Amino acid sequence: MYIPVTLTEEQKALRSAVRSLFDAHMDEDRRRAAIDSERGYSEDLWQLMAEMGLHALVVPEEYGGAGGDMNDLRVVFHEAGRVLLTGPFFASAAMATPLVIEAATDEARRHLLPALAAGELVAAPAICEESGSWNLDDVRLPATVRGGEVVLEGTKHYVLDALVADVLLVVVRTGDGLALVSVAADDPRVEIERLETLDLTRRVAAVRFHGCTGRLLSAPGQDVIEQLRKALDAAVVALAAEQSGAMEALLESALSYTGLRHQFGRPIATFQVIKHKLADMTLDVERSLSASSEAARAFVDPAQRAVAASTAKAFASDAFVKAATEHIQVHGGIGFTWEHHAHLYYRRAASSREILGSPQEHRGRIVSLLLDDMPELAETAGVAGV
Amino acid sequence: MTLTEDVAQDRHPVETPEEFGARLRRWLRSATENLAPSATTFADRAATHAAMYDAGLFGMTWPIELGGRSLPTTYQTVFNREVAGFEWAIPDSSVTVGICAPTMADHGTPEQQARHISRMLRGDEVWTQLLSEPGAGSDLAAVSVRAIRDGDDFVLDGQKIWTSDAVEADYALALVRTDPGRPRHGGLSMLIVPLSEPGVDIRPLRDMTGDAPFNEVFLNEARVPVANLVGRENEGWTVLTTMLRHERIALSAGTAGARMDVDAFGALVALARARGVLDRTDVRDTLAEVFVQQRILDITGRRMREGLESGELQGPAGSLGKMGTAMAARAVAEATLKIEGMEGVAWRPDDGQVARRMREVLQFPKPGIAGGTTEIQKNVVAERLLGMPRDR
Repeated sequence: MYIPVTLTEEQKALRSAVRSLFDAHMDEDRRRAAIDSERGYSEDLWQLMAEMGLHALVVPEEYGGAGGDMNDLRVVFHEAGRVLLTGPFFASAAMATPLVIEAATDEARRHLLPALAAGELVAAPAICEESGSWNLDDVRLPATVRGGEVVLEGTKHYVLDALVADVLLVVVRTGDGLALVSVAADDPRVEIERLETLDLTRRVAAVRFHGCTGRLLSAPGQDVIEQLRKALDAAVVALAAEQSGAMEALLESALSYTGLRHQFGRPIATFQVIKHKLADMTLDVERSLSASSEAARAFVDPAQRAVAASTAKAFASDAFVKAATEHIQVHGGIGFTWEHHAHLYYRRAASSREILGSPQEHRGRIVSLLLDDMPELAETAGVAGV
Repeated sequence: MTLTEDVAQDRHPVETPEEFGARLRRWLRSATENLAPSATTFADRAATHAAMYDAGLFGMTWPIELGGRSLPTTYQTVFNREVAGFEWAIPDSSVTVGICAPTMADHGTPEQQARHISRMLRGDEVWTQLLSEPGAGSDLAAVSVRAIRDGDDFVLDGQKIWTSDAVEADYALALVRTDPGRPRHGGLSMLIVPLSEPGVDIRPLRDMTGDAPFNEVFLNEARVPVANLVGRENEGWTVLTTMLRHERIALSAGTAGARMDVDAFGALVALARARGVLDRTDVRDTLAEVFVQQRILDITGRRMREGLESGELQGPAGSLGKMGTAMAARAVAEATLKIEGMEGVAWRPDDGQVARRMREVLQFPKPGIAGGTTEIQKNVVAERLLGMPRDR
């Protein structure tokens, strides 16, 4: 980072503590070990993160959390992105936890949030269906509500970290609209199938519900689509932060390698064509940081939240893929090998570009929001412009 | 310089940033009440600028002894916000106040600063830069305009090019060769050149849009006092480096606080609506891409401004802002062409709007060339920010 991002002293301390933790526990060897392990992550590291309060960051204090804001979350996920942190931290802390905070009743929050904040409970959000759409309007999975209980029949696709979750948070469609339901992951009528993944550091499953019973978390009779949208925007901010952090690590990696690698009798970093690639990458790192920090700042402003989140996701997604591609290219043959970390970053980049909505989808959302919410924008500009 | 107590005191009312903003807003409204954007002349804009300065509403963050009010940078942020939408009513002072004045503040003598800076802030003096030459563009160390010492004067001979607004300008900061015996960077000096001097011949140069905002400046035995040296003799390269840093930040979108995103997006939406293509998916995608780029540039510009205020910004980071600005300019031009379609290919002679818009489109190369090409900015980023090895 070459252009400063304004952080509080606490956030600077948080950033350096998290960086030390991840540097020590998520180096290349440990990442490979985690990828090959059964659960896909180190439970020891999970526990250390819990002791540091990382699962509790945005949970309100009344539910046992730290009561932090989205910028705290952004700082932590930027660091998680740098090291391609494996495991359910993103699914549980950045997706499931905001879903409960935004869409669940006070009673349900009291039930779930303290355990989520302590890292004792792992929750996986089940949103997408066969279409692969992250647009909540496309949620079809029907649910029959009987009192506080809900009966589910159908399939959710692309569920992050379902195999290691204790509880699944399922977005369902009822007669009243969208509702949030929790289902125990070990329910015998829940079938979880691990899928093969492009991104080796993030596990994904398909989840089939065979008439199993869940617990209604949102208020009976209420359509919580707007609350769910806000929760997904929180996840988008965290994902964009991950993307900007990963890009920053790629820039450092490319910088270091091009300084060491000699061809034609000199470091390849002396070649202008290499310098310009790295200068472009630097600009993209800074722009992604601008986008994700602005999305974090704007999260509490209802008029700006959605546009800022989609702006960050649209930009950082494409920029990360470009950075991961150029990072392989400047490494030449060695960057194409299985052993090198370059492909892990590329896999993460290509995969997170789609997760939570593609850049095109977010750009479509931006235009719709700006035109719908700010009709005066186009009107006033029209007088002077045409 | 020595200051008496009464000069050192700000003669304007003590006001919070909010009060300052409110006063500026009222002032701008009433000052522009009887002016029409299309009928405003250079003289009108200059008069408004001077009156704004006299009211303590411009250059507030400059030190009192240099003609400012010594107010914190928050007031500049408020200024930038309030002045958005009134750009047509005041002259673009980015070269005089954004580039030349800070360079004079860094390297000028106390006498030079006292003589010029407050007049620059008031707009009484318009300044420009005499840097590029036909044989020295990206490679400014190849500057060949000679300045030969003759008593208390330098005598200047040679040609400068791409000089912005030289016709309106009163003074220029000129990079000249004072010692051809020294190696490239070593023999250069920075001089204040009054453009009304005999021997200074200014000829407008048409650019690809058909307008003539640039000039060629021919120097033919033009005499400039030795007292006009900014920085020491043969140390002009140091002065230039400072100047280019100010320039790259001044030329980066968003550093002035204007909302480029809403402006560019709004104009394109209005155009798409007028052309009946606002519902086309590819057009909407393009519109969003422009918004995203401009929005992120604005935020990056804000970070640069905050970094300048806190002293955490590394000077060469301005090159990043300039790279992004050049990219965004291309994106806006491309989007305009796409939305116009055939309407932008041919239009009736009485359709001034399309003609104006196409002239705007053809401006797109400027941000990637003027003030140092994008390629030079990338070298600066790689070598000065990232610390990659030089290869020269």
